[in-house]
Amino acid sequence: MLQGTLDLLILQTLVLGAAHGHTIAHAIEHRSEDVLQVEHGSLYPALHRLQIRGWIASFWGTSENNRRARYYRLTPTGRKQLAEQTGRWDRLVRAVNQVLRPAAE
Amino acid sequence: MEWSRFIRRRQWDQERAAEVEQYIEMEAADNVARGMPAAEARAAARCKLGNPALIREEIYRMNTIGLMETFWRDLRYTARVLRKSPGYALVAVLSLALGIGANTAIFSLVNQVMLRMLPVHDPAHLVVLHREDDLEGTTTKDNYESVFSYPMYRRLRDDGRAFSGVIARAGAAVTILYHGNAESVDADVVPGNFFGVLGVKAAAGRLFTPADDDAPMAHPVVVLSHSYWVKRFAGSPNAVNQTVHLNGFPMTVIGVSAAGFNGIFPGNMPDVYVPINMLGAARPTWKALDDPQFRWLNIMARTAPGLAMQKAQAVAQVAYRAALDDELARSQYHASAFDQKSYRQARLELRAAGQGINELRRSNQGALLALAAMVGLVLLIACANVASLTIARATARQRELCIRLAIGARRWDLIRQLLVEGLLLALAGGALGLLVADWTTRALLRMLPQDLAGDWVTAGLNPWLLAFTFATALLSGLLFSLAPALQATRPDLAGALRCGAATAAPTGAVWLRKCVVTAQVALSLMLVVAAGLFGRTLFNIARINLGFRPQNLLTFKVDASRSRPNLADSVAYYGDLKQRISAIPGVVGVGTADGGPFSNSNHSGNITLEGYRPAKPDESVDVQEIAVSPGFFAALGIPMRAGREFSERDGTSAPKALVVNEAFARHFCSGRNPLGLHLMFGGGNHPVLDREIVGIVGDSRANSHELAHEALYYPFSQWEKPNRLMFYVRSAGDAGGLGPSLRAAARSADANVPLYDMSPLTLRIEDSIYVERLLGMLSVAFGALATLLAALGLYGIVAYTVARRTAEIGLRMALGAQPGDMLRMVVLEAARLALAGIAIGSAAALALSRLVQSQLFGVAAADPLIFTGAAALLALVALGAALAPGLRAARIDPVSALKYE
Repeated sequence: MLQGTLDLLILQTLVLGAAHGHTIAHAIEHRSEDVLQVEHGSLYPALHRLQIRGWIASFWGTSENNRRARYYRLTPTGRKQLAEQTGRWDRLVRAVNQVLRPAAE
Repeated sequence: MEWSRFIRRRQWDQERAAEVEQYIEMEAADNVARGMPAAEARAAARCKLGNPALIREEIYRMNTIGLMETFWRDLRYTARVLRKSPGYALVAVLSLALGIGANTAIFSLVNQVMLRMLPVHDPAHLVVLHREDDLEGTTTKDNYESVFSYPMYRRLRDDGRAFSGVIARAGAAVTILYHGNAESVDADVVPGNFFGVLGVKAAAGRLFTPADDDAPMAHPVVVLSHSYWVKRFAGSPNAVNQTVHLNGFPMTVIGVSAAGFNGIFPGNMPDVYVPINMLGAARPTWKALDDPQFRWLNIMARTAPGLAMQKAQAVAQVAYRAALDDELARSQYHASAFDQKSYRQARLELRAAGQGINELRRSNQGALLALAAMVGLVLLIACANVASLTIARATARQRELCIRLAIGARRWDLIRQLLVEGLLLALAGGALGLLVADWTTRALLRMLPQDLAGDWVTAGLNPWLLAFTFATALLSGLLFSLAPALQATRPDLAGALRCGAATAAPTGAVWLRKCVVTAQVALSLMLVVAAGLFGRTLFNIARINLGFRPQNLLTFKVDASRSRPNLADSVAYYGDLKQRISAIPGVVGVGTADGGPFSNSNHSGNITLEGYRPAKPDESVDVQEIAVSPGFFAALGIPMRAGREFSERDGTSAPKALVVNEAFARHFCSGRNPLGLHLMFGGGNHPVLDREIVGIVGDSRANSHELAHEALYYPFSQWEKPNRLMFYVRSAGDAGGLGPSLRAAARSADANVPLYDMSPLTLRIEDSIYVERLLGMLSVAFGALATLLAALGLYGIVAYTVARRTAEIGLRMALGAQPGDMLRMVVLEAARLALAGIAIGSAAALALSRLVQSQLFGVAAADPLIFTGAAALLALVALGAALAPGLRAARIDPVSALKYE
């Protein structure tokens, strides 16, 4: 997986609301229609890193089946970062596409 | 989040563990819901997650500052290693503690004497005014204190263009009478704006304002210094508004200056401050307030904001020149063109004075720098010693280092660990060094004169000192561990292959050790030369012929003129006191003088002598003019060469009589018989030669440093105005016990006139040469210590090489070498090292000793005897250090030596 992509995916997942690690992992997996196989373990260091940067925050909550679980939510900085990074990603994709399929233009 | 993650890492880690555990449970539950058997579900969940330990480790690392972590690990490892070799650690820490402690102690002196700023507001903008006379043949470059008249001070103060404030100060010893107890204290006579310009606050009451100093004798007020307030008034707030008698004048204490502020003249600590306009009380015999020719005030100023010193000097110069021109116009003196020229040529010079008018620094900095250099050498030698030990240890640890390299440590890891080891030792040495420093400083203070040690220079820690110690420790740690660390971890394949052989020793280590020992010998030689030079100086100055007998003389000072400005009254008092003291049992002679030996006062002036023509018309004919009592020469043991001593008959109304010394006779009489010649003090167009020479005495020195000056003595009863006297009381036995009876005699003469500065003359002499004593004694101690360390270092390396070459020596002897050959071989090797060290050290000592020439007395900086002596001493010591291992080599039994390997 591309460097930084996982961060972007996590941020995007959290746009819909707070979630805990398990949910995030499965959400990424499902919504990419199983194309992106995230190694679920690598999620946690990424969450920690995003927390250090202040893009997400965490709190203890109760899960859907009444377990204590660590929830993560987007911070305002994180929301801004997401918009910025998404834009950058779009530009990248367009650029790569232009190179790969110039005839289409 | 921010910082706590570095500190509460364990808690963080536990939370992560719990979080990961939850993932597994949730995933397992999902799997079960999908129909997986329970045991399988959990395994599948783990599989999906990956290695939880790795996850936690990755997060843990994010919470770690990398360098710190390895540093702690190195530190813990080092502590473990050092615990295993306590001998090495102990020797290293102790030698470093000695070296660092000695340096800290000397730095403490340097800091207090040379670096400390005045505790006042913004000291960086304070300047002292200095008068520079650009006259042919004169130089005032080293004249540290220029003095100015009070009218000049007022003009500069009121001019206001160059400075935002101008203050002045003159010292005066005064008698304070409080609650029936009279004592002599040091006063600073200062203007009303003194404390305001300096920004000094009151500890009690209030301080002077310009309104306290607006008219002569109008405001009888004083301010106490904090230390005097504590000493005499026990720090009581009631001291304010008390009346004390200052030289008999009732004065009101209005306040106390802030603690820590001790005036602006380091080395001279005022007890009380008196307004300039009360000079009539502080110095009753001085009529100085209106006289532009009476120069007595040091002037300090604060440069105006935004005005650079150079600019301020130019601006002030204008005001100064204008004032000089005015003075010249109004004065009846200075008729000659020469005088006018000299008057006009005076330049005003500003000098930075953030440390005050630091006479202390001027007179001590040469000696202190020499001391600092010597003590620095001692530390270098201590470092060399520890480095030697460290190299030997690294050699012994070669196996450990090899193994660590072999199992994957990087070279940098090993170097870092060895450096940490060195730094840990150095810091331990530094910590212990603080104790050594405290002890050393106290010992040093005992060698300083009382008035310096008690007031201005004290023991005790401060942040500067701690910072210095810490920095010195770090530096020496690097110094002694860097080279050995680099050497021991050299990527050396052959060395690495020798891992198995415990006896292997890389030749590089031996070479490095030899270098270190050579350096040690060189450094020691420099210190031994210093010990020779300074020791010789002390010896010379201590046994100098002073021209009188200083033993069994008790001295004190007394100043009747403070309360008896009238000449006849003072003379009567002094005569009475002398009589009472002469009557004390055990007193065999009493002499008094206003400028005698070791009194630190000196009156000189020019004279006009009949039949003497100066070589040049403008030659200043300066001689010392000393007023003495009858019996002065006999009491001090100054021999009469011709004529007679003064007697009681040489009174106020008797013909004016003089006694001159031989230096005077040589300089002024050139072959004529001085007896019967007439002269006068000063000169003029119509000289009246009113004094006759009636006697000639031997030369005596005013202090240990200067040769005897041309001097003339006259009876104090023939003074023009009364002055302070120093009494020299000769006792039959030990002079110390006389104190109480002297004080009793003074009380019976007049209880309100205190005796002060009582001290045996021998102690005064010792105090006056404290710089030479300090340098002489310390350099000898340092020299001895350095020689001992060098001997140990040399012995260590020679013994080590002999042990290493046991097999080789055994082989040589088996092949026919004689024991004598082996001895010669070993000793010659040591001699090579020692000679190299001696050569390097001699060259360095020769280059450096020129710098201390001004500190030497009666010995040349390149004294060949001292240099050869030092070289011979070190050569002998080297020989001694090499002899024992050499003999051991000679006794090696070839058979057992060859079996040894």
